[in-house]
Amino acid sequence: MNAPDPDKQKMLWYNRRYARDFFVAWAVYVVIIVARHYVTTTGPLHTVFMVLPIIPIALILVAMARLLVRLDEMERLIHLYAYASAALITAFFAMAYSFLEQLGAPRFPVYGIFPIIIAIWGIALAVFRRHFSHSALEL
Amino acid sequence: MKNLVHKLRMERGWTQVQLADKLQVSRQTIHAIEHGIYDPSLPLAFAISRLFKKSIEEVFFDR
Repeated sequence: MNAPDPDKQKMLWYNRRYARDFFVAWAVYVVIIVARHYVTTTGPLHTVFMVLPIIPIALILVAMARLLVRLDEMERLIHLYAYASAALITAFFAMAYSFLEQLGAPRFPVYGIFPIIIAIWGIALAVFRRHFSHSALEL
Repeated sequence: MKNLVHKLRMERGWTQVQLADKLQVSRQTIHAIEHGIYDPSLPLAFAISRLFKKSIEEVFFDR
């Protein structure tokens, strides 16, 4: 039987910790969103309650930043390429859709931007990882 | 940028994992450097050269 690949184990440790941080933050987010539908608040407390979901969102960003710090230089570069691609592609489509909104298209909620960035980042990450392992793309 | 990392590693009988451990990077990074897919940072290039007891120009050179 082959000995376990220590590099693979190290990467799994990174990913396990990131996955834990990421999903705990999302679970807190869902709990807060659901709670907002059932708990009635008034006055300043209401304002606090309404902006409360920003805390788990901040935790997600912290988890992503912590992962970035733990990675080695090539993996970090891959992640940064993916972040840059996600930001630029999302910005492009947000601008394009804002012009369509002026023509009467339904308004797109601003809170939808973050999940779109995350989704595009995930796709871009897979593409860049493939490039750096097989050089399938010419960049 | 071309390099002799694969040749130098094989001469010493090291696996990619062993070299990666010595340099504190991932095996994927070693694979990418050896195949010329990824050019290492200057600090990493110096670390590789030091490890193989060569000058940086002997390990890394232009195409």
